[in-house]
Amino acid sequence: MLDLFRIEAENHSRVLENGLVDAEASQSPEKIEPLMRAAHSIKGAARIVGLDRCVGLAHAMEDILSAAQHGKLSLTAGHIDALLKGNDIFKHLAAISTAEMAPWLEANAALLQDMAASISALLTAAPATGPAAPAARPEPKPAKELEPDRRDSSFVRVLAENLNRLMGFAGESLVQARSLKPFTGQLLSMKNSQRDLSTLLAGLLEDVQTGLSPDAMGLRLHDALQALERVSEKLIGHIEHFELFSHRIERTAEHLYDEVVASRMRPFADGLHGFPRMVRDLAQICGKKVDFRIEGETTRVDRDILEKLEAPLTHLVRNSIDHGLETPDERTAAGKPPEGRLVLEAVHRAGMLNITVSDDGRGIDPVQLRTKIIEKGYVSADMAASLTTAELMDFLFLPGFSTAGKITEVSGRGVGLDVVFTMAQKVGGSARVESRPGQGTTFHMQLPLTLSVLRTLLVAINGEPYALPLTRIDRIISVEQAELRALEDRQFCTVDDEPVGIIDASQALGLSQSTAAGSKINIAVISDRLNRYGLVVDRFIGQQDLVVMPLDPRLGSVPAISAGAIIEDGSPVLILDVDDLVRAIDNLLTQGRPYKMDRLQQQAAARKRVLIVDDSLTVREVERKILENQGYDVTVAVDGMDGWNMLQSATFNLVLSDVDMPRMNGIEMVRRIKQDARLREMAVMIVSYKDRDEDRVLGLEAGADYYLGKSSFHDDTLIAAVRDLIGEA
Amino acid sequence: MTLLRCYKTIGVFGDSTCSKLPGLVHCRNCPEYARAGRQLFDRPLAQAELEQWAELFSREKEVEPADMFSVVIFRVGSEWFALKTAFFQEVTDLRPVHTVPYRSGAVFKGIANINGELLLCIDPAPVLTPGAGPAECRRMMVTAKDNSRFVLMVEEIMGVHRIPAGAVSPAPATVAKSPSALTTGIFSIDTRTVGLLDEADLFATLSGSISP
Repeated sequence: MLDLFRIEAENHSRVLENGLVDAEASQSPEKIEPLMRAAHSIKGAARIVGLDRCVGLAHAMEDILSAAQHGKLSLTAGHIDALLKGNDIFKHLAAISTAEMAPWLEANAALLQDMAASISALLTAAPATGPAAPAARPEPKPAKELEPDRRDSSFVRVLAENLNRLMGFAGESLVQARSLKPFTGQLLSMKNSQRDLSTLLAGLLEDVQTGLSPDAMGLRLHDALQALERVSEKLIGHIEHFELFSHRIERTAEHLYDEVVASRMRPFADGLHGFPRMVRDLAQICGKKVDFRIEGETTRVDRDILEKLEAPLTHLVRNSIDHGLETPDERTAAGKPPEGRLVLEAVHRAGMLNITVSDDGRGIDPVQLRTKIIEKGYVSADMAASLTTAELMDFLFLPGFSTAGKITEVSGRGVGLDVVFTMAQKVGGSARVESRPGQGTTFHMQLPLTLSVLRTLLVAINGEPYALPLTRIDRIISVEQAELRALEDRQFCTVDDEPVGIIDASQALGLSQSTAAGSKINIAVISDRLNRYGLVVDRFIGQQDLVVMPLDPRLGSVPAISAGAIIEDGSPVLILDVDDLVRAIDNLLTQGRPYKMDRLQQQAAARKRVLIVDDSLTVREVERKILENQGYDVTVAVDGMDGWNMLQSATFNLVLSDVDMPRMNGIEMVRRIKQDARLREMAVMIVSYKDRDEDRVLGLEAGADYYLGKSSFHDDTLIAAVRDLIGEA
Repeated sequence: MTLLRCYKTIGVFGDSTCSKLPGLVHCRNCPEYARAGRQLFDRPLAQAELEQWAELFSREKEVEPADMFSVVIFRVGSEWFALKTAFFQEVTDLRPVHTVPYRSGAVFKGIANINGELLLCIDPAPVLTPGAGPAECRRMMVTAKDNSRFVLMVEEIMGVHRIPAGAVSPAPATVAKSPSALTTGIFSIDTRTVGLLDEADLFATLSGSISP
């Protein structure tokens, strides 16, 4: 019962609060009537659940509102203040748990009685006007602690029309699923027809074997053909039927899905309860006059985003009123209307949600801003002089930045704008500010329409699918092993002429090194605000929109993973948390040993690798063709130096080298190979026109394992020699 | 005593020459028909029939024990286990399991898509039959206790059976005294010995296997 009372109190107190603030401006009876009705409902509800202490208060409020409605009383600021204070009690009751309601009312019985009495007194005497301290709230709101409990009790507001449409689609999908039943029967009858046909043909075979007359056989065949035709026709009919069904049910399922996703949206105004009241109170405290408007009240906003917007918007509004807007006197002196205008707007534009908070106050002075930036030491004076106004404005979002002269209770600490920026970034959006000195300031927030559906890039890591949010990917590139460079034993690739360190994704996730094949290395470049990294994945699967599903809470907070999802074919996938991933990569690089990308080495197990070193293009190509036809993996180098470099960066099973080459000849190279600890064991064959005995001896002495003269060069001899040295491909 | 069968001879089931028919339209409205039906009920029984029934009633009454409870019996490796049916939500075929970095291991295998939800999959073999070789799991059982759900991957499911509490004997001392014992008793079904699992212990152990 108390649960129901709480819902009622919440609803009615909201109506009262908004209505009372509104009523200060205009007091037509039509506007006051719903307020009176709300107070009356609260009174009735309180009486039924036995919260008698509230009854008196609600009754007093109802009396005043009724008098105002009938024109017997005109509501002044003082009246509104008192009524708002009374309403605060109901708001508080709606915010605490049902168990606490009775005890709290007991504890504050005296307060409630006084309030009721003073409100009743207003019926006769005029209230004391003037800026009443709106801070006389009974107790600090414990609403925050209640939040998690509330969420478990699963009350969610969904638009009625959404629910109706969902019912419709659900019913429709059931109907369509059932429509398939007769289909099974039809398939069965087709099966029978086919069986008859096969019997016919079997009979025919028998007749052929027993030697029936050609005419009779022809007749039988004719029957068989006809039966076959009938079956074919039935089949065509069934295919059509099934295609229609499949098309229909897919559409219904899509509609159902879209509708459920859409049900997460709530009107913008839903998140702004209490704002008109807050603006009114703040204006009073700061001694300013504010005309507060909300535009785009019905704009649909994802319910999660709406919740997250409360804090940033509060900060922005407080800033505007405290710093942005001038006092009525200042404004009149500047030729502006004494009432400052503050507008909160939400609109869908270009597939994003745009929220703006704009005022027509004094704006932000870029000169003062520049001075402050230099003062704080963010940039040097010259640097600051060259910054554009837009760039200057970005500094406002830094934590701890404030242009306020002093800190007031309302704002000035330099915390608010950082909150705005962080919130926007966290949900994958952005924030910026525009201002004209003397004319006003506008804060823009650009946010995604929904958090529940994320646009991602699917990649394979260690053979399993993972998803990277598209907004967090800088680039994706595919490079050859040879394009990787190393510095201090750390590999990196080049993106836009800048080096980007690479790291194996499977290692970043604490998995064993992936054994993916293929010579191309697929890299997704990700970054947080400070560092860029190239994440090496097995392959890119493709782009897909995913519905974000939180993982089971018992798993705790999994490093580098933000949530799970299900891809189109029904398999589960994990969504990577880029910030966490970058942190993990940082850790890995400073403490651990990153896996080396050496795809070529992994391929060694698959195919034997041969390096051909020869300065003649013809010879290289001929040798290459012969060996590749045998299945070997062939790489070429143009001279001894080049060949030597190749051997440093990759592993080979065999080197086929010429002798006479520029820069470093074959003999020299072979000698070096045989002296190198790592390369010593590799097979080396010299293929040369120099076929005299002396040359042969020279080559073999240098360490070659085989010397093949080009005079005795035939396809077979080469292949036989290679096979001899390193075996089949 | 011969039965009156006028409905078959002169009635609607015969040649419809009965004088009462025009007035009654159908034999079923006729008291003679009713009486014939009554006669069928009241006819004396043959001796053989009487004896048959007497023998049936004189048998000892089979009383179903009052303490029957229902279990689902499944096989892990070469051993059979049972868990009370109350803790089962669904049994389905094997689907792809996605490993979870930093969490997946020998027991906790990963997450799978069941009815559009991502559920935690457990291989109970290392817990129930430690030391046994790798298993070829073909079934997934969704179990739940106090809002804590797990999917157990097993090889075979015998089905749902009701057993009397009295048929469960205490586990042999070697099993019972082992610190990781999860079986509270054993019973026989057909020719198989089945270990009855204690749900509190089982779920506690499984929960432990997934904490970070």
